[in-house]
Parts: sequence; C-alpha cells; structure tokens
Amino acid sequence: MNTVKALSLHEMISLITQEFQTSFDFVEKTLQIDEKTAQLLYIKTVVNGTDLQECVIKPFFELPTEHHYKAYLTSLPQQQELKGKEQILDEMTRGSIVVIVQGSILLLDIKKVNTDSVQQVNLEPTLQGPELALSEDIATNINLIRQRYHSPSLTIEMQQIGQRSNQSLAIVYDSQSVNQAVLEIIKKKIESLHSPLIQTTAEMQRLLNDKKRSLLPTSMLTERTDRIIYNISGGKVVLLLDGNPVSLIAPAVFFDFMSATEDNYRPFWVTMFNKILRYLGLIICLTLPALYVAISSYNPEVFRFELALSVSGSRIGVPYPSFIEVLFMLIVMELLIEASIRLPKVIAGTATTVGGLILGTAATEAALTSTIMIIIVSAMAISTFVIPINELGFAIRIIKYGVLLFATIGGLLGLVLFLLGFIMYMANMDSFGEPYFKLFIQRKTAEVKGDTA
Amino acid sequence: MSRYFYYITFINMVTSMAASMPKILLLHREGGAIVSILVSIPIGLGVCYLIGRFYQCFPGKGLPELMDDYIPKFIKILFLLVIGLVWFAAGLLSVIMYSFIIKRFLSPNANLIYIVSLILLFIYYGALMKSKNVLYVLEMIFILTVPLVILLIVKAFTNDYFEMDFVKVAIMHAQNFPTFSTVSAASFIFWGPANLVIFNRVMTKKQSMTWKSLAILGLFGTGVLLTSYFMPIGLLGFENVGTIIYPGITASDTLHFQYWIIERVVFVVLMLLLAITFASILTHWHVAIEVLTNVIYFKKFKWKKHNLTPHLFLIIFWITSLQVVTYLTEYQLVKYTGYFYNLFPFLLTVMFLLFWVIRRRAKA
Amino acid sequence: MMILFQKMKVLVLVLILVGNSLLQTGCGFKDIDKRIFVLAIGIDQAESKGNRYKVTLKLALPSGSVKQATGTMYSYLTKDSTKMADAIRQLKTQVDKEFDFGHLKTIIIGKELLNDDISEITDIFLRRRDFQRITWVAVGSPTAEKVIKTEPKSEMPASVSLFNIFANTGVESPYIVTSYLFDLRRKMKEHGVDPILPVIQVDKKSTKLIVNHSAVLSSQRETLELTPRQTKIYNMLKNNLNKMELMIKKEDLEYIVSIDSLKTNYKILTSANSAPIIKMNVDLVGILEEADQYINVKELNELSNFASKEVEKWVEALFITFQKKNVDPLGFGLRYKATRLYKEGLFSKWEEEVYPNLKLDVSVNVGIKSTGVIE
Repeated sequence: MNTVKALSLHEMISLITQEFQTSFDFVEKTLQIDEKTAQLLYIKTVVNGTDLQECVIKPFFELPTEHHYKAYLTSLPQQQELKGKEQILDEMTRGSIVVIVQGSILLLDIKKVNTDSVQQVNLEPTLQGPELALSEDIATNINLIRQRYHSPSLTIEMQQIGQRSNQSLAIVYDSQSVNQAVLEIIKKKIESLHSPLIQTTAEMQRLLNDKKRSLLPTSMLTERTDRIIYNISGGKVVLLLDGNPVSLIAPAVFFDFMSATEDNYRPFWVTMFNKILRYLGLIICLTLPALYVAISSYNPEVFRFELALSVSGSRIGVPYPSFIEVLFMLIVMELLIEASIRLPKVIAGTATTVGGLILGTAATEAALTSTIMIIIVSAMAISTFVIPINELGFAIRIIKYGVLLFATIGGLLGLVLFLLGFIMYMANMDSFGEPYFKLFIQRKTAEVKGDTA
Repeated sequence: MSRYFYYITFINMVTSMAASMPKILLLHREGGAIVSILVSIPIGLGVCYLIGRFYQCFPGKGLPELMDDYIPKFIKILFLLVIGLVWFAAGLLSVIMYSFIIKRFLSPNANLIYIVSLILLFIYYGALMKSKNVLYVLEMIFILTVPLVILLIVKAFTNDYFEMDFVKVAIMHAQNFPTFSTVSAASFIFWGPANLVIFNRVMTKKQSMTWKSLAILGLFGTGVLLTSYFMPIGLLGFENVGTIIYPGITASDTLHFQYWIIERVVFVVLMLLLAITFASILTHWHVAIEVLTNVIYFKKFKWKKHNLTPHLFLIIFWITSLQVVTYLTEYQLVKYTGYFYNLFPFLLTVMFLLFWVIRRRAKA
Repeated sequence: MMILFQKMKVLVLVLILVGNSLLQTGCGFKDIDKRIFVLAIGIDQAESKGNRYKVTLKLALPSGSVKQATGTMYSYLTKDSTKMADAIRQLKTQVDKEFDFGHLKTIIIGKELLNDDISEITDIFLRRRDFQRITWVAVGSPTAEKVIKTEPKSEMPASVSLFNIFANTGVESPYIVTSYLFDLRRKMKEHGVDPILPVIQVDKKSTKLIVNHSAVLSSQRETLELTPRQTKIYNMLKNNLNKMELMIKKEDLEYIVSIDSLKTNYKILTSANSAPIIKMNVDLVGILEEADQYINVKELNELSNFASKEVEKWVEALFITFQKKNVDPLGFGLRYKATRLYKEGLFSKWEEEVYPNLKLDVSVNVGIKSTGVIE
C-alpha cells in the first residue's frame, strides 16, 4: 500500500504542490522539532482548524519520536486508505490533509462542514408530523435517517458521481425488504451517467430517467425524513446527494404522488375524505376548462337549461370564440403562478390583489371574458395545488392544455379520448421496472415485487 | 383465476351490450329470443371453461408459441392469419358501430372520417403497447366505468316509467324455437376469453378455473343479456322497440336525472360507452397486431431501431376502416355483424380441435 | 439551421395538421352565443289554404345577468307549412342564429289537431336526435299558439312555467297527467293501451295557464276529454300519485281527506263459463284535512267506509265511460296480453269479445287514520 507511494514520494509532493499552488488556500507546512519532522499539505478553507490543532499538530509536539507520531497517526480513526494519486487529490479537495512523516504519506480526514444545520420543513408542511427536514450535508442526513430507523439491515453505499464535481452520493436501502430488481437497475443507471456536473437531486431525477423528453416524474423528491423512512421500509431505494437537502426516492408510481404523509397520522375516515378530495381536485384541474369549451361550443344541451342560459348570457359581448377565451385566461393564470414564485415578499400581497380582484372583475366588466370563465379558472388554479407532490402538479398543468386542445377539435369525444390516451400513456410508463399506473388491489406480495398478473 | 381474465371477459360483455347484439335479439322478439338467451348461457359458460382449462396448462405462453411447438408450420400460419383477420374485423365493427352512434347522437355535423380518425389515433398508440400495459389500462377503465353502468341500469329498472307489463308480454312469447343467428349473437358475449390467445403470455402464474369463476362469469353474463333485452322493451314498449334503430341508447334517453347537473342520461351513457368500446377495440386490435406480426414479420424494415411492421399493419387497418365506414349503411352494419357472429361457432370449433391436438402432443 | 429543420420536420407537420383542424368548422364547433334555444313548440291547424300545420316556436333570449333581467325574456316565431321540418327550415330564415333544439322540453298540440293522426305529427320529434325523448307533450286549448305565447306573472327568469308544471320539482297536483314523448309513442304503437295527454288552457285574459284535465286519444275514434275529477281518478288508478285529496259529501257533512299513500292493483280473470271481470283493489291511507263540523274520533271508521263507497262509485263510473267509448288508457288490454301465453288472434279476441263485456269489481279501502291536529 505504501510501497507505490514511497517510491514516488517526491513525485507525489511535487504533484500536489503543482496542482494546488495557484490556489491561495493551499498550505504546505513543515513541523519540526529536534529531529522530528513532518510535512503537512492541506487546503485550509476546507480543513477544520480545531481538529487540525488537536489531533495532528499538538500530538506531534507531545510525542517523543517520529515513530510514535506515525504510530499515533495510523491509529487515528480519521485515517483514510490510499488508493491512488487521483484519490489523494480528490480527498484533499474535500478536506483531508496529507501528512508526510518518516518517508510515508498518510491521509487524514478532518473536514469542516458548514452546511450541517438541520432545517425546518418548508416544502411539505404537515400539522402533526416531524418538523425537521434534511440538511445540506450528507453525513448529517445519514445521521438523521439512521436515528429514525434502528435496523441493522439498513445499508448505505457511497459512490461518487460527476466527473468534474465528484459529489458524494449515498444509496440507502433496507437489505431485507428492498426490491432487488429495482436496486440493480438504479446502480446500473448511476454507473452509466456521464455528466460532468451534477449538483442537485432534481438533476439526477432527470438523468436517471431513460427518456430524454419526459413529462411525468418517475421518482419522488422529498425533504421529509419520515417519508424517507416509510419508503425505505416499503422496499424503495433512496439516493442522497451531498450538498442537497432533498433526497430522491425511486421507484415511484402514480399513486405515490397523490399521497401525503398525513395520511398515516389521521383517522381513517378523515384520510379517506382527503384522498377523495385530492382525486376530485385532479379531475377538476384536468378537465374543467376543456369541459367548458366542449359543452358550450359543441353540445349545449348536455347541461340543464338554466345553466345553459346563464352561460349564454354571460358570454354576451365577448368578441372571440370560447376556446380563445379559455386559453387567454389560462395563460394569464400561468403567468401569475410563475411570477409569484419569484416575487420578493414585499410585493406578494399586491400581486394577489392585482391578479385576483382587479384582473378578474375588470376583465368581466370589459367583456373580455365571461364571469363563468373566471370561476372555472380559479377553481382550476386552486385544485392544482391540492396535489401533494409538486412535480405531478406541474405535469398536470401541462397536460390540461392537451385536453383543451382535443376538446376544441373534437368536443366531448375528443376530451374523453384524450383522457383515455393519457391513461394509456401512464400505463405504458414504468418507473425503474415497476408499472406506473397499476392498481394494487389484491395486495399480493408477488404483485408488489413487480411480477406479472 | 386472475382478475385480468375477468376484465377481458367483462369488457367484451359490456361492449356487446351497446353493439348490434340487442338489435338482433329484439328483431326476433316475437320469435325465440328468450329461449336463445337461456340456451346461450350454458353454451357460453362451457366455452369459457374449455378455453380457461386449456390455457391453464400452459402458463406464460400464448397460442402462437404453443403452435410453434406442436403444430406444423403451414397450419399455424393459416390459422393465425384467420385469427388476425377475424380480430381485426371484430375491432372494426366496434369502431364503425360507435362512430355511427356518435354521429347520430352527439355531433351530427362532424365528418364521419374525422370521428373515426380521432378514435383510431389513440388506438394506434394503444395497439403498440406491451400486453401487460394493455391489461392495466383495461383494469383502470373497468373500475372507472362499470360501477356507473351498473348504477344506471339499476336506475333504469326502478324508473317510474318502466312498465313491467311490456316485459311480461315479451316473456309470454317464450315458447318459440331459437334460431342459429340469435343463439350465436347472444353467446358472443362469452367469447372474451378467446383473447387469451395473446394475453396468456402475461399470465405467468398458475390459474385455476373453478366453480366460483364460472359462477361469476355466468352471473355477469346473464345480467348483461337480460338487461340488454328487457330494458329497451320495458322502457320503449314491446311493439315500438322493433322500430327503433339503437334500442339501448334510445332507452337511456328516456331516463332523466332530476336533481343533478346533467339532465339527459344519454350523454353520460355515450361517454361511458366510449370508454368501454375503446377498451374493447384496443384489446381486439392489440391481439390482431400481435398475431399478425408473429406470422408476417419484416426483419429489415426498420427505422432508428424501431421495427416498422406493426406500424404497417396499423396503417392498413386504418385505411380499411376509413373505406368501410363511408361505404356501409346502418342496416348493412347490423346484417354484417350478424354474419360475423354466425362465423364464430365455426372458428371456435377449429380452435378447440387445435387445443385438443396440442394437449395430446404436449402430454406425449 | 437545416439540421434543426430536419429534426423538427415531424413536429412541424403535426403543428400544421393541428392548426388546420382548429381552423376547420367542419366538426360542428359553434359558440353558445351563436345559438338560440328553442324552449317549446306548438302545432296547430293551419289557417291558410294548402298548408296543414302552423308551427309556433318559443325562443329564449339570454340576458347578461339572470338575476337582474327585466323586460321580455322570450320571443316567438310562427309559420305555416305542409310538413313540420319544412316550417322549421323556413323559420330559420327569420333569425340570425342557429336553432338549438336541445333544450326543447314541451310540445303543445292544438285541440283541433287531435282528431288527426298524432303519429304523423310526432314523427319528426322522434326521428331527429336532438329532440329529447323526455319532452313533455300536452294539448293546448283553445290553440297551441295562445298557450305558448302566454307568460304568466308568476314566472321567474330562466324558469319556464311550462316546464315546471310537469316536472316533479315544480307543482305537484293530481289533476295533471305527465306524459313524455317516448311514453306517448309506445302507447300509440302498442295494441292495448291508448295515450292520454294533459290539456293546458289559457284563461280569457291570457295571463294564466290552467292545467286541470286531460284527453284520451285514439286514432280511430274521437278523443275523449276527461273532467278534472276523472283525471284525478285516472292518476290514482295508474299509481302515478304520491298524494291526493278526496272531497266527500255525506248527508250534510262535507269533509276532505288528504291521502298520502295510495296503491292500486288489479287482475283480469277470464274463465270459460262466466263473464270476464277485473278484480281491482285500491288502498288509500290518509288523514282528515278539512271538515265543516266537529268530528269525533270514533266516527273515523264510519267516515272511512263511506268514503270507500263513494270512491268505488267514481271508479266504476269512469270505467263504464271508458268502455262505452272503447278507449283504454289504463292499459287493461296490455295486461291481458301480458298474462296469457301468446296465440294468434289473442288481441283481436280481447278487442271484440272481452273488453266490451268486461265487468269491474273494485274494492276501495280508505283508511282515515286521524282527524289532524284538532278534532
């Protein structure tokens, strides 16, 4: 192990100094007292100064000989195995120091991490569940997960991805209940990633998907530790990326996206009601504008007479056909939603007023849209956010334009056909080998493991 | 029995409720229609049982694979070609029937070619899916639509205007002899398991055809037959119903949601029927495409690693449908559907013969 | 640039196809404010020579806010022609929007046309798909046009009184016979039942619509108009009602019973030896609604029996009227066919032998359960 390095010790040192000499934070320090010498090479911005002082520099001056010092250093738990020049350079960028003593190179891991504060949940709040989410440091995250799942079969494998950025990736799963087929697929896919830079798990989500142009998410992103634990115990694989407070859960099927973590904390009937409400919201969001176009322009006899008269009356004075009106209102609503993500907090209140009251009422007064259209669009906007996971919500927002298009060209027939086509598209997708849109009614374990009918 | 087996059969049953089967039965309402219903139930159940038992011995293999092993190639190619064509015709009849219904009831101003093309656009995508995914789609459609259909049927029978007297008059004609065409039309609803020709590839676990499965199938089938025969009679009058072109749909037009947003039940029924007919056409054409690509396959016909043979067949299907739809009248449609139903018993006999030969050779 | 175009070729093609289909109007895209809804249609005998029918349409005018509507909400169009479809087509030339018959819920036939063949008149309604099968059919007296053009004061905007009369969500009355189009058609076609329609009258000042009696049609014979009380008894026998009132006069005591549960059933018995009879049972249960004297609770039994006898008399009188005029709105012929195995000539036997000699054996059981809140 040390032999390879001992031969090219000087080469090693010169390689390191050459690599890092232009960075201002590279430190090359020689410790010397009496006959003991040791050389330290490290990058000071990522090294923990206190640890350095305590574990490396102080003992040097307290231990009698170099031999003692080397023995001390080799028995420290922070020592890392030497695997090659690239590894040494890589570890130095992460916060390890190279100690050269008695002609041998030792690598010690004393990194300083600033991002390990555990954060509050802000994307998926619940009323009664845990309030702490993942932090941005991978060691802290793994600590959080292990502290909640005290099972020896919890396996964590570390890898490095990204050819340039070399981020640490942890693959977490429960070796007793994990779906082996899915695990294989995920590992194979990670190995075949060639991207030079992977910064977030969201990017990973896109890269792990086979198709280049996909619409519906096949894996879930979450920051909540309790959701991660539920999924691990259910046999799923969780990926944690260093520097990210969001973890990736794979595989994920359609019905996972429609469940919130509160479903497990509330009484049965309350949960059932909430679930029905969510699906109702999904259907309303998808079909309401298209239904309006299909019924008012193709078959007004479907609805009751009073409703038809009222729709007809509210369209008095609107200059363009119904589908342009719907499209116009939908685009305005989309602009509003996109803009409110980026609004500074000071303007947020004004924007709501502008959007809601003025745009809505004024547009009707100016006969640019009908009153019924305003109600439809607001009902639809509200019901988009009933979907618990955001990725599915975004995808649904796009799909409803497809439904609108087909309702415009085909009426009710086009609407129903497109919905059937959407069901077919979802049934055709699979998430890492698991069917995306299959109902697990009979709860047979063979089905859950991905076998056939 | 796996629940997907039931889905395939039930979708076939509910689709035939909307197709020409009620019309053929009602044409013979003063003849032996009731006796043919009673006769067709045991025949249909017997066929289901035989098909189920056969496929249960060979889990995971579809008929083309079995024929590869045990039957000479020449017979296999011939038989599979016939099956492909027959399944294509079945899907085609459903497409045409439904397009006529849509044109008549929902959008009379639309071009018939346009309606057919819209439906076929989605079927195109669907027929190219994997068999497993087709089953998932069937399950979803079944769960979404069949409870509503059952609700509507219950509503129809408990309607104030459903006169039992008309139904009793119909029953009083029960002492006539059935005809071949009525029996084959009524038992057509039980031919759903024939789709296992391809779908058995997906059923990799051992199935078993028990009394329970037969009872469920029998109950559902009897319900479908009785509803599609008696409901139009009860709502539309015994002698009147012979003059009505689409008895099922017109009967549902007489229903009335009093307290809901939609008043005329016929629109709800049309949409539900669309979903179920879509599922049925999807199954039929999927089986047809799979069978035909098994027989005729152009290996070199590729474009960017996708083999184009199924696309070729689908385009041929599409063009044929467009031609046929503009050529037929409604009366011809009913007549040809009747011929199609009459064809099936012969086809099934040949298929049973093949089953017997394969069983014998597999044991040996 | 060329490479980009090559890749986008398919996408561009799809976009062009989609754009084309959006611009086409060949698929029936017509905005709702380019349609005008026809609510009711009235058919009368034409006045001009050479034409048979006079068609009146009642059109709905949409207003911006239904709650604040003032002024006229409907407009009317009239035309004479030989055939109905022709009249409608000619009327199209008088408006700027497309007629939408999807909400047409009432068909009124003028009184003089009743002696004509009704099936010819209703033919167009049954053939075209956009007429609902659940349209209400009624007879208009004196003419259908007058009935249609009446706008009673109690009518709210967007709530058409012609619809509310017949819908169960509106007024519920035993004097109104509700008859749907499909019901009319099946009764017309079937041997053994005759159709019955309500009659809508307009009062002298044309401000009110009065529906309190009905008419039985038959194509061979003259129509028979029933008095309000006969209509009530018909409704009772047909099990169409949830509640009704009986006004009984016993010596010098007049009392009104409000019935809230009624049930009728009957059987037709024919045997070789005796004359055919119908055995009918009518069960009425209710409470006293109004009386002009103090009623002792012990007298209830006696009052019930007397009421039963009175109702029996009414039913028998009605039946004899039907028999004399040879009409059968209650469907006795149908019931006869339904309870006997089919043989050739079964119905002609009914018509010639059985029905003219039929006797009615009705037993009414009125149960007055209480005298109300006071005695």
